[in-house]
Amino acid sequence: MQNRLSRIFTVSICALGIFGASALQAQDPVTLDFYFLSDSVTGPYVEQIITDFETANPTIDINLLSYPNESYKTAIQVAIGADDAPDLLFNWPGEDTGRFVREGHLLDLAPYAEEFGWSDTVSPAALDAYTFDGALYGAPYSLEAKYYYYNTAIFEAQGLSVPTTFEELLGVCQALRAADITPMSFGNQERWEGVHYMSILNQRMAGEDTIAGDYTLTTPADALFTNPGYVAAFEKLLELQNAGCFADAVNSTTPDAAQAQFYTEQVAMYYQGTWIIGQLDANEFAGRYGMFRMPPITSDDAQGNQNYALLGPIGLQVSARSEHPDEAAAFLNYFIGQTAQQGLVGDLQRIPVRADAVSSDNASPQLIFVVEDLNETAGAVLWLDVILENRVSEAYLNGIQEVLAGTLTPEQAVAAIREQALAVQLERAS
Amino acid sequence: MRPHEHIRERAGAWLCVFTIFSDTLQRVPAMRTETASRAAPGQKEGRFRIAGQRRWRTTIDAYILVAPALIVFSIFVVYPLINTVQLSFYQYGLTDPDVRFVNFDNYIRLFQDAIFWRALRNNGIILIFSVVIQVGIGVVLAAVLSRGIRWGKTFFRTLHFAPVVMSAVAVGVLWQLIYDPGIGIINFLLRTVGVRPPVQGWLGDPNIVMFSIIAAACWQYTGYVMTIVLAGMESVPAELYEASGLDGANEVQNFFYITLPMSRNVILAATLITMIGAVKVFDIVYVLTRGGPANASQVLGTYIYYNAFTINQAGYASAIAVVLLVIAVIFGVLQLRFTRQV
Repeated sequence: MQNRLSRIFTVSICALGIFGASALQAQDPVTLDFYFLSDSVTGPYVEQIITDFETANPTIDINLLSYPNESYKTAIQVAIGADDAPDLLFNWPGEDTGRFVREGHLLDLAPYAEEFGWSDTVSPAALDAYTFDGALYGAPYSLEAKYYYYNTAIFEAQGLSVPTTFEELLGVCQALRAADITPMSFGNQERWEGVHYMSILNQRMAGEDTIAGDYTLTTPADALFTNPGYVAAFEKLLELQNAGCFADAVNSTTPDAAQAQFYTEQVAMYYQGTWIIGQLDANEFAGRYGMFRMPPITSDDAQGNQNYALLGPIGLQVSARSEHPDEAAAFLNYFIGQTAQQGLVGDLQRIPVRADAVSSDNASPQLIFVVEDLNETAGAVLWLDVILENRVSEAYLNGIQEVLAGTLTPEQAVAAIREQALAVQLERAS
Repeated sequence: MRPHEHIRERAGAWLCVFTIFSDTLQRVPAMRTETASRAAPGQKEGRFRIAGQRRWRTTIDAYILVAPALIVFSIFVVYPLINTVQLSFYQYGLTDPDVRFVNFDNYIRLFQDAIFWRALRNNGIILIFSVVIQVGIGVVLAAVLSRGIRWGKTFFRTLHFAPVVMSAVAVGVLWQLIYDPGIGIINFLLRTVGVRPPVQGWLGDPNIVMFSIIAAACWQYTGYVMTIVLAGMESVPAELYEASGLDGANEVQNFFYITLPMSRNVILAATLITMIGAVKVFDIVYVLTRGGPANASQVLGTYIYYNAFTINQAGYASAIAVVLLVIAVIFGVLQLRFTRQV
């Protein structure tokens, strides 16, 4: 018995040894860790891309770790802080990328961009958002723009037409209120819906040139956030609120609840990013809504180009610590390649970064409308919380909630933002 | 105190926890009448007796037995603790390789930070209200379950304990739905009776938000206090009530003259547990409001998270964590003091 057991033991050890040796002889598979921001809709799409890529490249193994919105920001900071950065990561442009660039965590992808010819296929504006001092720190794979969605049946029943100016939009709100219909839902509990309003209103009122310097804190201290357009932008937000545009309790409504109010037809309009097109379709709301961009503001104090869109890319990056940058870049190239981009349109109804990925075969009428509409814009402005340094961005996010709640006036809110901006500017100078 | 006495103290505490559970779930009569009364935290050593318990004589045995716990404790509690104190003297971001020593700057800044004081005040508000509500209602509920009703005890006890076993995140999401301005049940009921709900919502109005959070927290934890106190009340000797019955006392008098004095230690322990919970609170606030609107419901726990992960001020977050630690330790020491005295 004893003998037999020991024989089995020896055989097993040998078997393990042979198995191990044969595994070593085969080409070592390269494993790439990939942190991605995803939800139930985008998750399966990304998993499919990974499966396809691994099939085409059997020596590369992509290890996907996905997190929802807020947890993603925590997870990626912890991973990088613990010196365990993933090879591939999702990231927003602006300060989220800028900070990692300053801290030296990201790989310059410019040589790969040249090798793969990204500048010929990918939207230049999207690439620009990830370009810092001539180096490219991300491969943008999708664009997101902000639109008003309106319920066509309600508009028709009330005899309303799509507003062509901001002032007409206020009139639409008043007409809907008069008919006892709540005009818009607005879910500002997580604060980013409010900051999206201010992103476009700041551009419209203070002008694109002013905000460019202020957001990056490069405007001289005495002029930083002093343009009267910032206060005026807050006042425009209050004009919407005072015209009865918003449903009650904006600061305690979640974005999900606000979106649900729109597709359950409790409200007539909702201002949200293009990522909800696919979600509205999934809730069988396709074909029952129209879209329009934030209409031009015609008041005399509006300093910005009124044909700008609120638009920004999202992208993937490679860690500077990655031991397999070539494989990682190959994956990025696949991710923004035509096949994956067509899937982005077909599966998710998201705006691709390549013009050759959209056709009437895979895109919904709404998405085609958006792509055509965006071609007519004079320029694009990014979400301001993405561009601003974290503490200044926080001052903005909180200021918006307080202005909406009436606990701060627009002047007080801008003063608080300026104060925080000056403090950070001073810290950077020292 | 020799080390092996520590072990027995710890064993006593665990026995207490075990007793509460077995009492709730299985109702083992012998454990309820005998052990629960003896094994309340802080009982002098030697007063409880476990069948077949072996007395450990040698110190080495004792060290070997505590070693695994001690190692885990050192790695996951002691080391991060020392590290946090150390990091509170630096300015750095979580992912920032540039770490600068700033001496006491973080602490100086803390005293000038209005949001820090607001967070501290909010912890205080939660502490006061959760003690009053959770312990107050918990004691009354325990008394009713202990001597007030004749049937359905197990049912009501389980019912009141049910929220405790839910994760705080689930409770937060649940209450977020209850408070929702559009589809929430509270606003629906108010509208049904013709009352206009708060315009900014239960979680959106800076003047209401703390009370909305407290209500959700109390809903979850009152059952916990009740269960602890009930275990104490169940162990009050029945003879006392028999004697008072002969003297013609009614149940209200019984409650004030027998039940309350006899359960004093357990109520005190439950109060201190509630206080420590109020100081450390994070999850329910984070899920319900993330400290908003505009920092109105920020507590120390969420403010630490906010500084470390949202605005990239990890050194400053460490300084707040040290303050939180000091406060929690004060309450912890108080708890040990009080429960040992009696």
